[in-house]
Amino acid sequence: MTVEPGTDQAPTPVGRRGFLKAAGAVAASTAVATAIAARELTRPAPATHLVARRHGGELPGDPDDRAWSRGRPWAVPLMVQNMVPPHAPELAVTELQVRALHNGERIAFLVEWEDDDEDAVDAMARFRDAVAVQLPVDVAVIPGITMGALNQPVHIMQWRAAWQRDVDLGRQGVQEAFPNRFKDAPPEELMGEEAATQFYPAVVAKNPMARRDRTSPVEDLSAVGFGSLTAQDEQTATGRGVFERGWHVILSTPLAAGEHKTSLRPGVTTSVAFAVWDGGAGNRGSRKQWSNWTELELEG
Amino acid sequence: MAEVFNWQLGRDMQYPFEAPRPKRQIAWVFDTNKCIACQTCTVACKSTWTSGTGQEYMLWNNVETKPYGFFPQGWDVQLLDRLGVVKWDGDQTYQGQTIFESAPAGERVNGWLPMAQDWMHPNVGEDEPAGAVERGTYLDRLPHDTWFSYLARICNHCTYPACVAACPRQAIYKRPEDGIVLVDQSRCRGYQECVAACPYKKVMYNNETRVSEKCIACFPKIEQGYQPQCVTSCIGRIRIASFISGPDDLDPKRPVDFLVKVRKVALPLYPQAGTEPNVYYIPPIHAPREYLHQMFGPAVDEAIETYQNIKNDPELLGLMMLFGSTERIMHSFSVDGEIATGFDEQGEELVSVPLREPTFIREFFDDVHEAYLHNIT
Repeated sequence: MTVEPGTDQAPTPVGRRGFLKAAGAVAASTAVATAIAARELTRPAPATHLVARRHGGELPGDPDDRAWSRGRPWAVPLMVQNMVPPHAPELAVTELQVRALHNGERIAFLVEWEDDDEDAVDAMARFRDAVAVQLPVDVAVIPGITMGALNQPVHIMQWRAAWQRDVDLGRQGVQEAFPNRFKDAPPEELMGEEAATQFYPAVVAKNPMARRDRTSPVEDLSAVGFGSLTAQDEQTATGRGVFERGWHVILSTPLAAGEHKTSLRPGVTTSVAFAVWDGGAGNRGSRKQWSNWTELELEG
Repeated sequence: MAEVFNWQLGRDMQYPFEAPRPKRQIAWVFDTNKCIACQTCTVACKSTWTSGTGQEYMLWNNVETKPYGFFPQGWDVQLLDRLGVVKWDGDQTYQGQTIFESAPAGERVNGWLPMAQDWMHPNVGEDEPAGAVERGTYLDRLPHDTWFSYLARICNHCTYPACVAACPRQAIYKRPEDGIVLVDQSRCRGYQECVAACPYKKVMYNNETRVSEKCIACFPKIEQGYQPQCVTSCIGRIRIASFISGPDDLDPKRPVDFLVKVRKVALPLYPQAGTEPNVYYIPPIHAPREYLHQMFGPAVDEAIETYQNIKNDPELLGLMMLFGSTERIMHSFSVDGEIATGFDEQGEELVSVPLREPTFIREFFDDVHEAYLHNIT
């Protein structure tokens, strides 16, 4: 993210990296520093939580859209998930910057983090970058941080870099992961696409991992505790991720997203939590960075 | 962690789940001495189950040459390295730690994840002997000074599978009706924790469907009373698949019980991993004992002695002759005089074979054609 001098950047929740950046920007210009100091007297109280600003019309689908500058960035510190094994050995991502907008119909989160490498290939011993937003199904309840609990279901939206590539470039498979591979008799050529499906057990089993017609890089899931993550029958989440010195990812869901999903409305205050995976660090599944619940307010 | 009993280690051990034993357990016996590494089993498996895109590298069944063959590269060396020098107390009880007990903090299993390049050379080390043959060497004794041996491998459908233990979302399960271990193809999310955990490296990631797959023990055949493809296709007749009794039970009429528990000629591969594998091997008699102890545990000497005495053991000989004689699962067998017979679950006869194949020895010189004859048996 970039810090724009003069905006109502919240100082307190910004992590060390963000703080240093902000400090650097301030030091760069005494004039700006003075301006910020002057504003300090009149600016609204520092943000204490994530606010989804109301946005007129369509929500921006591009992380570069200027409309995002209206959303206040909220820094979310991350920890290594170490409640249930296996854990990641070390913290690969320390902090997220999150903005949110809603238009009365949908809510969109822009989640950004620094990452030196774009890991977008799903293959043997290679893992992809990913991010997830977790919302309570019952917005009045703060479910267990343990991906919900039996009577506290959560609605999770996960974006994966590999799915983004599927959407952008068409379904990525073994040919893209291993461009020099040679196959003399692929079943598709011998018997056609439909009959060849029998050679893909996960496709026949309708596993969402094996989907060959992915249109959204974000998947709607539900969970009632660790290990229970299950894809929702009805997929309504959308989004888009762009890599530029780190990831800039939009995840969007209808406010009233349907059964087993979140049910938000303008003016409501609830909770939201995040998780991030750095594929290059071997992150996948429970080897991840996660945040605690943070307050989310939808502007009325 | 739960306490479970692993009879191969002679003690209780730690396992992440209670893991009650299945109602019955399919098991295999492979006679390594008869294997010629023709890979017919490999091809039978490949052409039956893994011809799809993304499965190119998958060999649910493979035959590697020991000591320098591995698939994937160095799988057993990595395991041995992780568990350290193996110690057995009185040839009965394993003194070291299993892959579950030695799991580092934050891990469920002490495992490792092979890289793509580790899967690239399924025939590495093939037919390579352990060392150079010295000038003037001749084979006058066992074990041989220079040796190699073949090791046919499938999923061990372990009693305490590491893949099941490692999956954070219970997408792998062990069937109660026959003990077959399967990856739920609808539930797997491709974390590859099972690939990292399996000490035998018999779970493999499908690069096309992005989920993991493994040997399914040809369960559609087993459900109908037939042995798996790798067993029935074996031209050397080195394999048998049938059911094994639990640690407290024993039925000497059951082929696997007889080989594993009565004559004790067939041993688990790397039992120290602690998964209680259900493929049992008759060790190669010509490989160095030190190597075999490391591979099959402390009962190797007794197993080889029994095996080498087979000509005086009609029951064992009869059962070995029944290997590869029927496609059906042989639930029991008997030896009567010079005939060994295998039976199905209902006790109906499946097949009878002679203990010794009839042989006819021709004269060295054929008087009629006035010719010397070679290959005279």
